[in-house]
Amino acid sequence: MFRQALRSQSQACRFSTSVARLQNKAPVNPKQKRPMLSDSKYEAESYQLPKVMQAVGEVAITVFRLDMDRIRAGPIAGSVYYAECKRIGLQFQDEELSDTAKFFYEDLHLPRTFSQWFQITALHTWMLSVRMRAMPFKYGKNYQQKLIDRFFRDMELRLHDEMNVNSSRISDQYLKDYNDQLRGLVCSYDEGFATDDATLASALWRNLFNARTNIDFSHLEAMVKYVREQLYVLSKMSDRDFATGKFKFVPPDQIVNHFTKEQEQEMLERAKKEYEAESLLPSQRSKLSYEN
Amino acid sequence: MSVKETAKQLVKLLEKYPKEKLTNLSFKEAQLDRFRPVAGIKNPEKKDVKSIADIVGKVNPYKIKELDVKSDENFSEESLLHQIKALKSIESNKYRDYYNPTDKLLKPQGNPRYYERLIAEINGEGKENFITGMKTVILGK
Repeated sequence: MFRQALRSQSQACRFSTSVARLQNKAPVNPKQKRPMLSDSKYEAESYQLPKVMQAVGEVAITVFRLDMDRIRAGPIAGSVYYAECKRIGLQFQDEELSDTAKFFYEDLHLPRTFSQWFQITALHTWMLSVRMRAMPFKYGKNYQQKLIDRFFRDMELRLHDEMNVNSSRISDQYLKDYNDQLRGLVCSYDEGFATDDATLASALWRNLFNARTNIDFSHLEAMVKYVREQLYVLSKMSDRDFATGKFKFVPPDQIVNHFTKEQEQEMLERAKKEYEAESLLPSQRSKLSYEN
Repeated sequence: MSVKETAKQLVKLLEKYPKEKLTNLSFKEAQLDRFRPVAGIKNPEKKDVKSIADIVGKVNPYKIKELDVKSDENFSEESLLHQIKALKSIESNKYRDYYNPTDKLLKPQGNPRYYERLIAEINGEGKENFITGMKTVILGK
């Protein structure tokens, strides 16, 4: 009798610890989960445009002389790059974290909340917008606009579907606050990027780390390194490669070394071969440089 | 070296940290307040200065309900040395210099004077007038 009671107690104990491990303070616990990008069938992973439609499209691009660099901004910045930013910090209650999310929520001890996800995603969109600024003005601005448009549209839908905010007045207020935060963080990260590591670290502390006083400086150092690494890789990418959606964030557990001269030469040769090919379709053409 | 001596070193390092220019939420001041007592130095009395919780709460009432400030943190010498090492590599601009983004990003093609103007504005070196400001917004130059 006594042993049975003890066993059931220990079982209850084990159960409660496992529950405690799974639960987080401010969980993202959706009734229904949103698809990664949108409900549109064109953005589903398995979707393939029929061959006929493809051919019609190619003809239309040639006949109307459409500017593909402008058209590409939507599908590349709005879909490919936004998805890249979004997945980094994505987390749901009772679900295993992805490798990148583990770095942010477990290694850096950031709270598992929606606002924290916003901060992580905003940091990544900022890094991309730094690179977009280095594209020709007309195209870069369009890319930035598409990325931020999609970011806020997705947040609005996530607030409604996943955070169960049913009042549009409240969700509008949240979005306005996030917009203010985004303006602030872009300004302070830009300042840090253009000046020194210490300023960048303060900007990260204020935004990403929620100005937490008892912070471990090595966490801050890791984040400064992470940001500088991504920006280094971005600076080594040509406009054409970046504009066609070839960039992926370097995972936090990897170290970026300098590119050697041979590697840069190799990249250039690969680009030449790819972008100067005779078989390039009208939709694949671009005026952007692949040499810088 | 004792914990106190190590903390003193850390405070000295923190004093070299650049001053916050954008907001009154200063990393430097917050960390000095945190480590001065460990080093046995008294925190200077502040008149009418808002606490971090006030400032953060005003900026974003949803983000943080309560800051987890612990005044009774226990530091070992080892952990303090760890902090010093991390702070030194931040202050020495190790990563900025190694991962140098070059002029490609610092003088971006689409807006070459962007960072120059931003830093000038933050340092209070004069404001741009309306006409040149609009010109930059429209043309990016």
